[in-house]
Amino acid sequence: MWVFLGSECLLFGALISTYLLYKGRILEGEIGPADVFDIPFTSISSFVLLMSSLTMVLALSAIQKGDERRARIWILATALLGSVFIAGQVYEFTTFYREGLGYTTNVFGSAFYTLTGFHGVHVTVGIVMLLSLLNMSLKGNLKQDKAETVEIVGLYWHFVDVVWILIFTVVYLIP
Amino acid sequence: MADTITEADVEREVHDEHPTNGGYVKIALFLAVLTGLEVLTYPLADNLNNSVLITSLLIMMTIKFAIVAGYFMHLKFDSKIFSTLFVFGIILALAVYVATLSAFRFFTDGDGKEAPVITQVTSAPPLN
Repeated sequence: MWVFLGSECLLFGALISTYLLYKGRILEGEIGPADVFDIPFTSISSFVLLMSSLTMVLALSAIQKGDERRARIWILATALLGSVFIAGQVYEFTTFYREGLGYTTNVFGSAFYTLTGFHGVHVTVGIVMLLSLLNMSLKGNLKQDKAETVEIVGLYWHFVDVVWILIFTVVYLIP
Repeated sequence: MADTITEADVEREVHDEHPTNGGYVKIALFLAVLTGLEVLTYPLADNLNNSVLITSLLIMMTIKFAIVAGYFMHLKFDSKIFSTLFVFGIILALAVYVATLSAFRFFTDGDGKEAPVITQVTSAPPLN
């Protein structure tokens, strides 16, 4: 898993590099970051994803102690928080599109949608993994001896959160 | 004597290295406060020096990154080989950024336009 996450660093490194190179290359009058970004809204999304890392680590802690019921609740909470984040991203993309920023509008749009879209896909994959864990747990197949499975999914989930920490600062907050 | 493992033993073992649940909540609250501070810089951006703003944002981002990787991903408590693999990926990612940026600097005039062509290749004349 760590080798995979290391390779994922490369993927997101390349996407963030591309975004940084292209975000300032918009012509005068073209739609840019300052025209579309809604920082308070994205801050709430970031907070939600950050808190999902807490619920994930609590799920792992619960399964390590053999508390399956509590682990199930925390896994469900993590999946729900992830879904809220994705819903926020869909809303954000829709709003940007209505404001005139499409995927091919300019290089900023292409780089922005590619970077945040890839991250969104990763979160969605994480939600699917969490729901699989929940399904295993409901069928009684997620016992204390399977704590490592929860840990691996947790690592992936925290990685997705860590990437968002970078994206939120580099893409949204740094002028 | 029976060698049974009680719930307290498990809890002690789990908590010997990793933070307790209360510890995780405190870490999350600290991360939330840092996020709040980051967001606070947004309305103040016009009044702050750009380099001060960017430096402080990058420092807060790095602290958040390190805390999530160290405590939530347990890198602080796991074998060093995992940290090495992860950090190696990050270093490679930074190298990708530097290489891409350098390539754009070398092959463009800095404004995103292609550098002027110095030599032009013309097609060779027919052989016969």
